Amino acid sequence: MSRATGLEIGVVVAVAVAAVGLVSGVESSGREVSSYVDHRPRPSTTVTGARSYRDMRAGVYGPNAQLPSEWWKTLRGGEPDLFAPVVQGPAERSDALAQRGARRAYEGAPPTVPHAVDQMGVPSCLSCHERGLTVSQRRAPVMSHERHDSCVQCHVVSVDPRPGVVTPPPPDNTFVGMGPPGPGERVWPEAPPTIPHPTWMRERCASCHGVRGWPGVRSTHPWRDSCTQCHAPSAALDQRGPVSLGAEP
Amino acid sequence: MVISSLVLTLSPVPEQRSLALASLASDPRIEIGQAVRDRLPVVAEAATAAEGVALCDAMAEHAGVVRVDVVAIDFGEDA
Amino acid sequence: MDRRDFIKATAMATAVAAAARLALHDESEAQARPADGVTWDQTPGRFCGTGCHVQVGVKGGRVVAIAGDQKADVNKGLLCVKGYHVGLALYGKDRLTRPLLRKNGKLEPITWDQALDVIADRVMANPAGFAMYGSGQWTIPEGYAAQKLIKAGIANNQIDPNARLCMASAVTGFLSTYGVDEPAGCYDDLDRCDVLLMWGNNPAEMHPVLFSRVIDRRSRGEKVILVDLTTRRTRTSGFCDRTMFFKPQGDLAIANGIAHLLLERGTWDRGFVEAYCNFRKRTDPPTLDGQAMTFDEYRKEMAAYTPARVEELSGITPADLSYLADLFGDRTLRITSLWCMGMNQHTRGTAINDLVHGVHLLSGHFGKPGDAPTSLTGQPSACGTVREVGTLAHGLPGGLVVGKEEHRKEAEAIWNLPAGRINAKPGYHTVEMWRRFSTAKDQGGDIDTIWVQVTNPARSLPNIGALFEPSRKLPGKFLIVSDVYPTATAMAADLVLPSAMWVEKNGMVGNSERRTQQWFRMVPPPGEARDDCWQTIAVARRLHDRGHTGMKDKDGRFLFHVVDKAGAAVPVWDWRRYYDVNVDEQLFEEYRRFSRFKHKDLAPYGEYVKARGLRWPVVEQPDGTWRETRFRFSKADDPYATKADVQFYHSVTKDDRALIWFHPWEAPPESPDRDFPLWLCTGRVLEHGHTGTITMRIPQLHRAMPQAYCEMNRADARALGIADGEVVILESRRGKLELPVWLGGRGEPMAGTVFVPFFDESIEINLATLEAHDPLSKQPDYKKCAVRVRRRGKA
Repeated sequence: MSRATGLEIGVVVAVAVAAVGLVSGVESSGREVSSYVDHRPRPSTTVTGARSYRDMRAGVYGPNAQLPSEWWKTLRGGEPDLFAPVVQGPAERSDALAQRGARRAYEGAPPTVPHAVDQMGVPSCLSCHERGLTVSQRRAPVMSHERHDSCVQCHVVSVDPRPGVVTPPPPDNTFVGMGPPGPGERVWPEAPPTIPHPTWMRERCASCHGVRGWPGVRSTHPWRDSCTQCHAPSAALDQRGPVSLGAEP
Repeated sequence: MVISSLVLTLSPVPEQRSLALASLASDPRIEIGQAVRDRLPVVAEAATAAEGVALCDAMAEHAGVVRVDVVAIDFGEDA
Repeated sequence: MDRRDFIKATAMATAVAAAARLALHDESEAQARPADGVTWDQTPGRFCGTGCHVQVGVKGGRVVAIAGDQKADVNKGLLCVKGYHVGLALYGKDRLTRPLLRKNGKLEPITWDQALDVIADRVMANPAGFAMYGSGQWTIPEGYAAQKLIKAGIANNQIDPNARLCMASAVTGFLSTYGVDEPAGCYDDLDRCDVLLMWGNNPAEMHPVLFSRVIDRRSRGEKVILVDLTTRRTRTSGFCDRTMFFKPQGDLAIANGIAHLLLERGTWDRGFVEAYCNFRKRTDPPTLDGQAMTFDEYRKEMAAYTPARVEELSGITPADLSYLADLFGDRTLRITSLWCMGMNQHTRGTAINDLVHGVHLLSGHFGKPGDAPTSLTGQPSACGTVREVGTLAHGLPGGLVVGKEEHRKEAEAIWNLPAGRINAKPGYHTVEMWRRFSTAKDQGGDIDTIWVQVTNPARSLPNIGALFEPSRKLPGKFLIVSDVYPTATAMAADLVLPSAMWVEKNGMVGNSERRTQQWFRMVPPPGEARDDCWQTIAVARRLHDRGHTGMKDKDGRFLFHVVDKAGAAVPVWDWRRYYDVNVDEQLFEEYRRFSRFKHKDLAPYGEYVKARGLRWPVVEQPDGTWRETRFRFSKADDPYATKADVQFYHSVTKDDRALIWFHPWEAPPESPDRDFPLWLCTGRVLEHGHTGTITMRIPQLHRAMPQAYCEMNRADARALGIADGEVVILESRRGKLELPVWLGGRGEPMAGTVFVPFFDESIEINLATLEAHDPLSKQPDYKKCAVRVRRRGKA
């Protein structure tokens, strides 16, 4: 199986990538983007029987077989509704934090990538992650930091990058990473909470807290863009602690 | 008697600090405690709550006092 | 007391308590992140020569988080995946925690006291045969302690670093061109260049933060041209405007081809060359100084490197060569050339380094911000420790050498040694040291003990089947290893010493842009692991106590005499007292005195504590501040360049001029032939450092790249009938191994070449590599030898 032909791209994702590519002007590389969740084992070297034309016409097979019927209706058809009511509880919140934590060595680490990426070329991460994307149950969050081009310098895949190879168990390491902060402080019950985490590499609040953000930590008012107008960051957390002015001359 | 427990944050500028301390010391209603770095514990005694508030405001307005934090107030047995 | 007094007393107590709490909060705000108990401190990264600064979050005596340091000039808050996960490096479960001695074939725990005796025994029994093999990952004080022990104490000059295998040719290139080591420019050149040219390196994976510095400029709208000169398609190629594939060894021809076209077209910079350069050619046998060459001779030699000839030797087309010459011929462009192992791990490494410097000098692309031939360093302190402290078999600190009498005298003065203590005869370079260690004594194998610190030669030496493995079967050969994990070398050793790593000790390093950086210890090391620097000083003391006269200076003082603030001696060889004072600071202040000789001035230790590193020469200003130098040899910035706009004040020809060398293309010692038809190139991947002894123990990095592989060209694989993922046998004249193939993965080699990364201890690619080395730098070539690949079960 070579990468140039016969690509195992989920049609859903391929269409979405192309659609976003058209819209945002980013050229899709057409590279293989397959999910580890539904990754299939490598084909054996023995010859498999070809499907008959009748089978092809009659049956639904291939990666799309698992999709719900009329899946195209869940494709991105415009911006999600900013004004839809946000219903979330502590269970979702702790769920979101657990999922976030599973991809990060510690709070603040760059998340590992939960899907395959092009190992060699310049992967077209931005086609989904520059503005965010939701397709069926899959959510590609907008990246939380401003644009850098060499994404895979910090974000690595979470399984063996070679197709079909079973990832060996990870080495024993006793590191325990810093966990996520609790909710931001509120000076009175209805006050806007302060930002309890550094904002370095997290300038785009919508990444986690916007309409495509983690359920459980979503903002109740995602239509407001200028977050730090009300939500105060912490100078200490942002490495902007007060500078000693030194002894007086 | 309304007795207030306060922490004053003093200015880092030495002249302003000493002026503020002198001014506070000269007021018989104010008792000054031992400062810890820039934080000065103070007990203020006023006849009424309104006078207590006015006293706090006066202290906050002083150039050598950056802020006044109210820790506790005992409003006394009389209303 | 009445009620009022009681209330007032209570009120005061309350206020005092509140004031104390607020004041404490003020203090902890300054250095800690509030409310979660994590304290943060800054330090340089651990893994590469970029020298990013990192904020380390510590809680309960353990590292719990990492952040990019926003105040650092080098990386401005950005890191790479290794940097982000460096905190986990300390916590692999199998950290070495006790000294181990091999008894009856098994490594058994012993005490430190016993370990020191074992080492002292070896030195006293045969001092001439005792060598230290150090590292570009040594901190500056660690390297300095080892340097002093060997050069001033044991005085046999048997000390060489693993950096011999990575940077030696860059050093000889600088010395032969400018008369003094290390780049003239700095990373500021990356912010200003119009053209970034990669000469056989892969910065997208190997110096990612520096590479991002350039490509992020491009995405902000600046125009920067990136050109990749390479033998395989890599991640870097994807970002480049133009990728030019060349045949191994063809780099020599390409550099000459550019010079040829510049001369032919008249687009070389006559003014610059006439003012600041001389020409140079080789002697036979080659020497670092070479001999004078006239411009006409140079021109005549370059005449042979026509585009057609260059295409024959390198494979790059005349159009591509012309494009490169167009760039260099344009004086309005600022061109930065980057290189690393492709040019250094080369049997003509000194030559190719000289030629690339030469192209920049010939075309006048030097001395202005953005115009820079920039040699990048691989390891975090190959510059700071190995090159500057001089931990090489021929070196002394500050760029001095044992071979020159005036240099030995200077060193003896600073070290207060009796005249003649320093040995004039250089020790063995790395390949030679290990060859002798792996040779029986009665056959000339005069090295019988090697003390390895911070490196894994059992996997990283070339041709390990010849240079390392025999030593493990020869009687009388004793291997001592100071390391943090049970590496292949440690597990093959006779004595293993558990060591502290990174933020478990104080340290200083120097990166690729001459920036010396400092950090303080943040967490304790595990078990009985101790600082490498302490280990060296403790051994020196043990020898001193046994009467080894070399351990005293000429006034009878111990070589590592360390004092407290009152001036009283502190017995730092007693581990309990080691952190009573800052040993790093005292060693550094002594070492600093060497740095003036070659204008590599270092500032006092305290300045490095304050700054995120400083680029030498750091010169004191009239107002008492210390000013670093960004661009050496340029009058505009370098305080020592006074006589002209550009002054090469360490000129080989002693006339303030740099040298433009001619070197011919020469074939490598081993090329593919009928029996071994493929080129083997080895190297790294983003996720792992060197032999992976640290990074393979970090789960995120291991998962992302768990195993080494043979990267083949797809057409070659097809011709051999090899499928993706198949396990094959890779074989050279020296050794063979089995490994899986990965097609269409991280890179695509040219037809006729294969690439294997060396991060996997279980896939010993250095069984196949060749130890042939550059004649001047002694650096071996890991990028070119001949191999064959075949399927298992097939003859």
